[in-house]
Order: sequence, then structure tokens, then C-alpha cells
Amino acid sequence: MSAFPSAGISIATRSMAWLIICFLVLPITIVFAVSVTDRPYLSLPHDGLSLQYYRSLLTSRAWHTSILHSLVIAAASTAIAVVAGTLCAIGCWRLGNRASNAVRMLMLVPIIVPTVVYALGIYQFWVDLKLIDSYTGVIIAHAVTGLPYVVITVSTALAGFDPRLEQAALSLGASMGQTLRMVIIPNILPGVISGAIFAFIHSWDELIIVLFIAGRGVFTLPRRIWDGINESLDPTMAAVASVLVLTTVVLLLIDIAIRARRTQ
Amino acid sequence: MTAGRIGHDLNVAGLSKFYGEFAALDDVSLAVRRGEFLTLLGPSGSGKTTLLMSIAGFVQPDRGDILLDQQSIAHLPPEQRNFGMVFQGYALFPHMTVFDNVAFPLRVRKRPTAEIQDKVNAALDLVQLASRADRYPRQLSGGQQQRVALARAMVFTPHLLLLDEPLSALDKNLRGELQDELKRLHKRVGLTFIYVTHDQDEALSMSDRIAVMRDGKIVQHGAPSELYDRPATRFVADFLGRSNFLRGTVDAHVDGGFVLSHQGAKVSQAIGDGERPPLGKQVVVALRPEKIAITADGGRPDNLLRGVIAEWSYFGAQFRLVVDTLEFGAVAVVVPAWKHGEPPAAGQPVAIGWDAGAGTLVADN
Repeated sequence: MSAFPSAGISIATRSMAWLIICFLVLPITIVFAVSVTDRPYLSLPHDGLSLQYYRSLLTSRAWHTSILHSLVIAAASTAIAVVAGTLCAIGCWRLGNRASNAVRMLMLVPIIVPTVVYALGIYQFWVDLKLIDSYTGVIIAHAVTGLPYVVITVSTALAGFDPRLEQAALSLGASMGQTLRMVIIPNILPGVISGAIFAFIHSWDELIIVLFIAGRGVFTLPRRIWDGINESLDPTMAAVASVLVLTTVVLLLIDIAIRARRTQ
Repeated sequence: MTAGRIGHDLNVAGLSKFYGEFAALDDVSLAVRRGEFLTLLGPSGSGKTTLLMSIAGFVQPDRGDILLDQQSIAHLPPEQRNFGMVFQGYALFPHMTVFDNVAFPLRVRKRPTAEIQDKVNAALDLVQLASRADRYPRQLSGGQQQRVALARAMVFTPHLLLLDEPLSALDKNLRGELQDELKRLHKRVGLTFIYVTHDQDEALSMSDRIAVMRDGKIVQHGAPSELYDRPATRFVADFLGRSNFLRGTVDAHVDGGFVLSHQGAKVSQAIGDGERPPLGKQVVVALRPEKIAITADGGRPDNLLRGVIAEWSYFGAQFRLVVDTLEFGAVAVVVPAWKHGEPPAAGQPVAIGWDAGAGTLVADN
């Protein structure tokens, strides 16, 4: 056995790993470069760097509205997904039988079925329910599709939860509600927060479903970027994309920090 | 702890629990007296934990009833039974301090803050952990965690205290210490304790009464000395302490007993106030190794066998020997070392003897 775990890895393997990392990360870094361009169209900086598109992002009403829409929708759909997903995971965990496994699998359908197919289904449904192009419609759709992330992370947290703690709480006189609030939830909280972050990110950059069920009334950030690319080549989009990426990265870092604290 | 009546009695009547075809509990009846320390003893899979969990309310029995002070509690969920429980591995809440753990049962009962403060401090004093109140469970040793679990299970003056192998995770020395402590605590607070263990020494040293379980049934119950000296079955004789088993046929009836014969050897066996088995019947007599003596000369025991020492080991206070006899094969003998003089030697011929009242006639199962 080697003292250094990396010593046995060949140069070819390491080069391959770096290539893959570049392949994954470079397209994102180009967005940052484009966002500080000095040209009036989507391009890399030519003569110098400029923050003008960040300035126009800060002053543009249209972008503000879209960011606000996206934030409200992401926050509301996350709240629904977290409550429903956590309760579902706890219910399945308590039953612990074959039916509960089936339910847990069913909960994953939204991320297994291709989003376009799923979006088409929701569109048909929303037409009947008159939810097309409404806040409520987008929030419910995003809550449903964000649910799997919460169910997965909370189920994982529950797998490490000692069921005797629940029995202990009950034997000490706590009702089911008190047990849930005072014992189960505090112990699986890192899993719940992880699920919330993933559900938020999911709604924050979701485009396909929004394309199907929202028109002019609800205009989320990814939707405006999409329209911007189709209609104009305004570099403000690169600035928006940078903000979007940074927000996601920050959320993921928070998630990693929470996980690190849990394993301590 | 509050004054007044603390201990309660509990009756289990005809309790059965099936998992498919498997009977985890098979028509179990048991009376637990007020304030007593009762131990459920048995190997794993004998149903002792299922019985405890039924009493706690976590297992729903298929048949039978559980009565606390003559009132049925079988329909009550665990949180309404008011039984304290100490779990295997303690099940302390990891996100709460020692104080908050012990305060938990009082908080869920919405007791006033001042009362919670007083009772928790008193309970922590009782288990000598007042100085650790603001620690988290993971900062405590196994023995300390165990004492927190005890304080938490007793702070709300429960009707009963149920203990599910609470000492099994501790090392041997600590276990002995906590056994003594638990016994003292039981005397002091006067609660009824129901204790589950598979450790016979623990059961013998701590309990007022022991119920020995096997295959979902209680095979015998009684005071520890009663069970040890007069086991009813071969299983009990073997599970509680060690025993030699002498098999043979009833050859003759004598006054107060019978004669067992096997391969020409005749062994007298007293029967006490029981009935003598019929002549010609195959019987088993359990004989404790420490009730057999090496009879060099002088002594005149009722029964005498000759053999050679096959093995021996020294345990400080005693020698444990295996003596090969012609008639009954290997016989385990334990003798006090100070009595034996010089150490025995393998291959040495010896005579072993015991009195007719030393053995116990047991059922062969």
C-alpha cells in the first residue's frame, strides 16, 4: 500500500480527469467572460473589460420583474415541496413496508420521466384547471417536480436515524406531533435543508415546464434568458447567467457546509 | 421523587403474538408484584423483548390482556401508559443536552418551568450527574449515558420502569458497578422494575424474581435461588448456571426418593415433597458441579463414582475439573481451591461423591 493515495494513479488517468473537469467547467466560465464584454453583442471582450451589462441589469425593469418572479416562485414551490416531501418520507419510513417502498419510487417519477413529456402532461391538465400562465400554476408544477429531491434527501437522513429515539420519545409521554417536532425533525434537519436547497435550485433554473404553461403573465428568469437568446443577442443575458450560476454555487456551498457539520 | 404510592402491579394474561406462523409470544401469563424487580431471562429469540415491547405498547399482541392495577391497558398507545423505559443503547436524544433529555418527559407534559428545574436536578443528583447537566450525550462515557437514560425514565414518576438489556453495551467491570447501582436505585425509589437480559449472572444477582423464557413461553419463574436450586427443566438448569445431566431408569423406590440406574451404576436421588417417578421410567437428574466433592478419604456421601481427571483449570478461588467416569461419561466438578491442597493432575484417578439431595429431577426439555 502506498502512503499517498494519488501516487498509484498514472499521468494518463490524471490528465483525463483534468480534461473532464475542464469540459464541465469551461462553458460556464465563458459566460463570465462574455458578461464583461465591451461589445454591443454576445462576444468575448475585445479591447477591454466593461461592467456596463451588469449596470443595465441593475437598472432594467424587465430583468427585475423576472428575478422577482423567479424568487417568489422558487420560494413558494420549495416551501410546498419541503413540507409535502418531508411528511411523505417520514410516513414511508414509519410504515417501512413494501407499499411504502412503492410510494417512494413513485415519488421519483418527476425526475425519471423526460421533462418535455411531463411538461406536456401538466399543460393539458392546467388548461382544464385554468391554471395556465398563473403564479399558482407554475408554483404547483415546480413543487411537484421539486418533491423528489426532498423525498430523497430526507429518506437518506432517516436511514441514519435510530428508530429507538422515536420509541423513547413516545414512551416518555410525547404525542406523535411532539415526537415529530421535538425529536424527529431536529435530527433529520440537515437532510430537510439539503432537500430545500435542491428544490429551490430546481425551480430557480427550470425552463421547459415554464415554456409550456406560462405565457406573458409569468415571466421567470430562465424564460427571459431564453427569449433574449431567441430575439436579441443582448450581453445582459450573460450577466444574468453569471448571477444565476453564482446563486446556485452559493447554495451548493451552503449544502456542502451543512453536510460537513453533520458528519462531524 | 414524590411521596405516596409509587409501585404498581402488572398482570399479563394469556398474551400471544404471531408473526405469520411464528409465535413470538405463546399464551404468556405473568404477575408482576408491586415494587418488585422482575427479570425476563432467555436466549435471543425467546420472546423476552417482544413481551417487554408489548407491555410498553410498541407491539400489539394478537390475543390476551395486560392489566395495570387490575385495569386493562392493552388498548392504550405507548405515550399514554406512563411507563419509563431504558433502551438497549440508551436512545438519548443526541441534539439535546443532558438536562434537556431528562426534562423531556416533563416538558411534553407541560409542567411548570420551576417544577421541571427541581425535578430534573433531583433526578440528576440521584444518578450523580448533576455536574454534567449541560453536556451533550456524545460527550459522556457509556456508563454516564446509561445513568442519564435512567434519570430520564424515572423523572416523571412512571407506573413501571422497563429496562431492555440496559447494560449489554458496557464492559464487564463497569457492568458490575452499574448492576449494584441499579439495585440500590430500585430499593431507594420503590418503583416496579421489569428487566430484560440474556445474562444469567445479571439476572441472579439483581432480581427479586426471574421468569425464564424460551420459544415464546415462560418455562419457569421464581426467586433466583429457587430457580438455581430447583430448576424444573433441563433447559433452565443449563441456562442458569451449569449442570451435569445424569440419565437413567428408575430402578427402585426408597423412602423420600428413588434409585436411578445407568450402566450398572446406582445413584440415590431425593425427591423432596414431589411425586416419585414410576419404576422403569427414563429420567434426567441435574447436578451442579459445585455440589460434587472429591472424596479422597473419610467422607461418606450418598453417591460415589470413580473416574480419572481428564482436564482441569485453575480460577484462583476454585478448580474446575472434568472427571471421566465409566458410567456417566464426563462429569464437571468445581471444588474450592483452598480445600484441594495440591493441584490436581490429568490422568489422576479420583472418587467423586454427592448427597441424594444435591441433584434435581428435571423434565427432559
